Amino acid sequence: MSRQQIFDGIEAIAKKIFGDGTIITEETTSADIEKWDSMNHVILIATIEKEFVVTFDIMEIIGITKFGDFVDLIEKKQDQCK
Amino acid sequence: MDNIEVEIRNNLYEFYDCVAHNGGIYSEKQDCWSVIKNVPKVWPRIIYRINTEIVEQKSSIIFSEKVKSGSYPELLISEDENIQQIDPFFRTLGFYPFSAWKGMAIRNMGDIVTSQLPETVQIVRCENSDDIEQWIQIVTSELITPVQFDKVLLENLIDQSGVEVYLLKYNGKGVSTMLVFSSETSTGLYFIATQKSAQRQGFAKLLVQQILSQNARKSKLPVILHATKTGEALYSKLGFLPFNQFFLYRYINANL
Repeated sequence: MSRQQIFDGIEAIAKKIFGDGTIITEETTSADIEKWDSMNHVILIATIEKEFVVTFDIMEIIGITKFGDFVDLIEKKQDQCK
Repeated sequence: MDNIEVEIRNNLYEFYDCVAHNGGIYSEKQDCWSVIKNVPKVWPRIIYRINTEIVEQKSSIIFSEKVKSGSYPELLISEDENIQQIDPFFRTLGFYPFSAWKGMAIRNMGDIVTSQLPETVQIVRCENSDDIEQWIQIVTSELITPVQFDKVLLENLIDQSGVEVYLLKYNGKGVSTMLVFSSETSTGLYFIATQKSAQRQGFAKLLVQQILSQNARKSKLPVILHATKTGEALYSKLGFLPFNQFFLYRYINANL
């Protein structure tokens, strides 16, 4: 899966959680999205794990601040599986 | 384990116990965890003081049944020394990690440097209704939204020995908050917040410095706090050192 494909998948999940009108880039953070509170943060992580069939380590989760971090982590996990 | 790590942990747990006691909130202590019950709009349900034994069959069954019965917490706090062992167990029950606090402390109070307060700044102990209202408004909007900090709970806490509630005012208006909880062996700083419009102007730093200085004059006890990632840099500059870490989990419905 390419980086763009991973991002597109994450964007679809973000729209589902934060609303269809949500526009994101890899640099978008929780401060940029009003509905990105702690509860939706947890739902976002759990949904991404489920959709991409990955599990983030707790230390990885703590380090997530922007959408690009999710893409980086999923890419890393893909590489580890090769 | 370093004693300071124990202090950081115990002050937090004693503070929750104090909140439950003074808020008339039912709390429950099992062998492997403690719970403050949820009181809507007053206090979120929190599970804390979690031991590694929670994953053992007998304890895990009781805990799982509690979660499945709907009596689940909104917030669960677990420490780093047992997190790797407990994390998979939490996830199977629907708890996901979302943030962490760094347990930080200052042990040598003799090193505290205090800045002179500018004329426009005043630090008051919250005792009158107006100050209490301002404190609640800041803590609610900056830290605990959508829950509103309950006024009766705060008034009950203020009446307790060992609890001091402070408001930093700029030009007469409250902009920064803090609650100080003193146990027999340490002083804990809680609810440190600054109103959004007044952030990045050094008010929280000034408030913490003044309280540290005040504490140094009357006590040799270590001062501890639990810092978010953004707060960690500020507290490091004030002389706090990082020790243990606390991981925060939220419960979500497993059927996403």
